Amino acid sequence: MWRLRLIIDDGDPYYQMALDEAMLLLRSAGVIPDTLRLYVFNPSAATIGYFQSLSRSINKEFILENKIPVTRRITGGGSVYHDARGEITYAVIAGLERVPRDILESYRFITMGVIYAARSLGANADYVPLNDGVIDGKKFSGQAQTRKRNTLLQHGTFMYNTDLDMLAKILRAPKKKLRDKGVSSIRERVTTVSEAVGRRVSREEAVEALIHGFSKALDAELVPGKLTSIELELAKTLRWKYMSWKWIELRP
Amino acid sequence: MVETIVKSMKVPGGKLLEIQLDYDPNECRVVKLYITGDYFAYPPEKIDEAEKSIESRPLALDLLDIVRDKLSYTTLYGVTVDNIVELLREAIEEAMEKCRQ
Repeated sequence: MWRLRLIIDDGDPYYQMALDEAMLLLRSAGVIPDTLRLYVFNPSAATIGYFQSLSRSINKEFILENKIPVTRRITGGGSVYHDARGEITYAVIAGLERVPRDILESYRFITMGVIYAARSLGANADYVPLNDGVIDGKKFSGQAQTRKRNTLLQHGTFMYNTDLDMLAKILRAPKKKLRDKGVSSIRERVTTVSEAVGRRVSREEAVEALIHGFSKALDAELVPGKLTSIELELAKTLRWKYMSWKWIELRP
Repeated sequence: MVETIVKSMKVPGGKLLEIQLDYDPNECRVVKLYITGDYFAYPPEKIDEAEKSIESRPLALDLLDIVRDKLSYTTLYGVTVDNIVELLREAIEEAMEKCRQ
């Protein structure tokens, strides 16, 4: 049976993105084992996709005024609000021999972890290719994946109780995109597991559900482990990149 | 002096694509190209290379071939190379038009 190291973690957004990149690099060098990391952005923060324009994907004035940190991911995809009290991010770092080689298939394979997690909490969740987890047509989870040599990093969100009004103030989506999704505002397009099941799901419940969901989706044993010093060292160095405006404004 | 043109489209069933072309209207040259949106590219560096490939070149439609070439071994999800080239064509044509005035 596939065994993955399980890391549960909490930290600032620059550290979180730096650690994901560090783990991708170190796994591709064969230095660390396949890992599932479940983590919280603390404080709450926004991230944008590698190819996104900062000014067109985020309400920059609002986040500066409200001191909400933002950084750019190494993965593609869209802008995200990571609510410290309502969202858990997962990251799967794994050798390609354990996941479907086909990119579309690998998205499905890993995303089913959040789908099973939401279902186990009573929500009517489904996977919608390429990278959405939806409940009754509304998005509660987004994923983004990149690959380096023989290794895959997929990270994604699990909105169990995100402040969606806050999310709608922070993220920007052009009218063209919303219209194509059949909605007129971001708020209409998103939901949380709590909203869907009509009760407040706690962080502990969400973490438990994700552990259960990913064991099932990956058909793996998740073994609680610790970060190695080499991961922490590399993440500490890479953190400078994620803090720099040069990186954040790579595509202004 | 730098002027900016942004062209965007939502690819049906796909992602958002924006082409931002920064150009110098006096010299009729590209200053910078940004191929932005919420799409995915494997490997991602190919997009960086495509953006850089036409930097500081004179505005002309043959720039489209350079960008197309750079993206020939890139796997894209949510947008296609044709989408990128088509939007870039619109941006370059508009920039050339403004340049002549």
